[in-house]
Amino acid sequence: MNNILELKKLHKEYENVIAVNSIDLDIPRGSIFGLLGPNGAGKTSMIRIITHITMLDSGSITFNFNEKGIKDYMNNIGYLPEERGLYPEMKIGEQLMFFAQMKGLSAKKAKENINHWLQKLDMEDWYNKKAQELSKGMQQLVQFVASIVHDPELLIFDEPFSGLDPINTERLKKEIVELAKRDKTIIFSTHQMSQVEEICDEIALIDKGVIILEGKLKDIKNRFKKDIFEIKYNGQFQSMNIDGLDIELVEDGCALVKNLKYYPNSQLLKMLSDHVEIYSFTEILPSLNEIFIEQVTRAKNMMEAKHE
Amino acid sequence: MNKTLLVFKKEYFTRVKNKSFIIMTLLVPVLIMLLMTLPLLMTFFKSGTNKIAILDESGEFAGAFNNSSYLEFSFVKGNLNEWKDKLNQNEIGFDGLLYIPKFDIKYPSGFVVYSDKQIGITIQKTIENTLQNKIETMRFIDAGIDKAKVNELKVSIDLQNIVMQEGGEKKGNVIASIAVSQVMGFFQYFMIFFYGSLIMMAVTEEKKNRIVEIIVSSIPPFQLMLGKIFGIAAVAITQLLIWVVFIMILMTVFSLFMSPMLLESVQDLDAIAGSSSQQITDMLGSIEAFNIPLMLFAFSFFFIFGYLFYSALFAGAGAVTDDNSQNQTITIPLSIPVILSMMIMVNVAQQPHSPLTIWSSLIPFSSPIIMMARLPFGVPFWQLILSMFLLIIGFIINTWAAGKIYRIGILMYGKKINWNDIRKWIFKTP
Repeated sequence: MNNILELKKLHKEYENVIAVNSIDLDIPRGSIFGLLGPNGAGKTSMIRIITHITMLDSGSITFNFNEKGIKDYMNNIGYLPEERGLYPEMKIGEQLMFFAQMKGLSAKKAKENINHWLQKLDMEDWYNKKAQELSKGMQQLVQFVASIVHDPELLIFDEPFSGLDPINTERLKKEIVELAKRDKTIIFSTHQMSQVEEICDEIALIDKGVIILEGKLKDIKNRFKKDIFEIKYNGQFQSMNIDGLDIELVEDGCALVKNLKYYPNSQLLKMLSDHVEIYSFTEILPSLNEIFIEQVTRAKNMMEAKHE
Repeated sequence: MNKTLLVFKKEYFTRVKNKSFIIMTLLVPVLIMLLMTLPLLMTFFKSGTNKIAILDESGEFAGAFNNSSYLEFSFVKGNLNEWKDKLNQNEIGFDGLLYIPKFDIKYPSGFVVYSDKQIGITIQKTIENTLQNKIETMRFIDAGIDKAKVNELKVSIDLQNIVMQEGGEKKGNVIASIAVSQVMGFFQYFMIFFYGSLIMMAVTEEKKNRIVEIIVSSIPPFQLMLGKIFGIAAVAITQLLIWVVFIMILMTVFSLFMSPMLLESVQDLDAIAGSSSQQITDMLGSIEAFNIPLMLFAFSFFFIFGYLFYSALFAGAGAVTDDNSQNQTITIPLSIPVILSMMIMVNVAQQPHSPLTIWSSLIPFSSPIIMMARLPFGVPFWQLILSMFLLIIGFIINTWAAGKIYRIGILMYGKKINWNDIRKWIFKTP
């Protein structure tokens, strides 16, 4: 099986809110999967069902772990919740030992892994410090270590970078990408689109408990491209009125061209070359942020239309 | 189940290693010892310090006052006002001046102790007793009665209570029973509240620090709750055992070094309170006459299950709240049965076998306290067994309900939760 996790008709309702509305979703092994959505979309509800914190009303969850024979599948998931903390009075080393053993590691193996990670992230000096002595950002690194210390196959990070400074954000990003290279699967929940664009392979956009967009990041971007090109050139346009094109000057030697009649790229380039000397020709893909806003607004409008 | 054990260990060791636990564990026995011996110690430390001058204008009291280890009397002569001035100016080295005027033996009055500070109860009683004694003797002589004869004729009755039991007769002692009963009941009350709120704090803290979501992604909430309840129970038992051992050691050491001195103080106290040390010995004797193994077993049982019964409730309450001001309102319904039990417990001493006492010693909410208080007065075997059985059932129901509240409550932030929500969580979730 190439999907580490398959959700079928996953459904969860609270009193009068449908948090997760019969969602189907496959998470490919080894991918960094972005779970996106506005606040209250149902991301956290979904994650809590996957991590077995809340029970589902109906539907099914299937895990396909490489490593069989782990009695408790919770032991093969690493989870960094959005609401996270540490025991303020406990030493970092003791906490990590506790968390690691709670995930089924033997004391010996736990110690080994903790040392490995503390070394890797230059945190060895923290072993005997109490959590309350660390800054919030430092605590967050400890929480990150706590979620991966048992070397799980599936990792779920809910807003992992919130509250981190740019340096630590980069460090964490690097580690996450590296984990994915080691065949770990990462589900990454956020509403920070720029981060998703940087590291995710696939995304699912959730709103009001429903998936409104899903697929490979590249494909999605292509799907939503608006056929706008940025050109840099030498010379002057004799006339801005070229059939099927909408040309807008940005500055001298730079313009945006909208391909209204969907000419193939080669033909478009040729048409432009007739007028000016082209240096560079780049298609402008929409940012995920734009897609996100557009899709969520569209979904909202459709809902409203239905109500009326 | 391994993970429950891990939680158990963590809860146990972080608490036992905690400074405040160690201080509390060592301090309480010392405090208890102090409280127990304070009245005796107080009389003891006062000894040898009080000097009383006696200005006897009646001339009847020569040789009537005996010096003791803490009181020295000396007779002075002169004018009362002079002596009062001297006392005021602290010139004479006396702590007080006893003035005995000429008095009518039929209506003796006008006896005064002048002092710069309030005199202690011991001095007051000693002086009063001496004066009374002497005047009584004088009256006996006037009436032509031989005082020695009267003393010979005096009688003191000690009413014994023999409790009839299947195994034979047993000497009972109401005072001893009351003492043991109230102490045990109160101790139980204290432990339930203290360790119950400890549980609640442990739950709330995990919620407040946002750790709980990480933990429940590793262990099912119910197991987590059990680990906590039993972990803190183990802390309570550890503390209890340390207290028992420590108090026993202190008692032994104390009696070795202090008993000769204390005995003297006890005799002084006897003189004051008019009780006899024979009574105290009797009382201690009848404590031994209790069925000690049964009491110990029942005490341990009601202590442990009473604690477990309430701690499940406290854990549920802790899971519902996320700030301390809300905690208060949630614990109110929890404390009502405990406080009611305390009120009934006082009643047990007066009516150990009234219907109220019997019923409340069977119902799980109050039985841990009331049954404990009833035990020294003797409880029919079937009532004891029924009470234990009901407590176990109550514990299971509570834990089941608390588990449901816990599971949902610990992940709720910022939402005000009412009793209706809680009812739904208990009965409407799978």
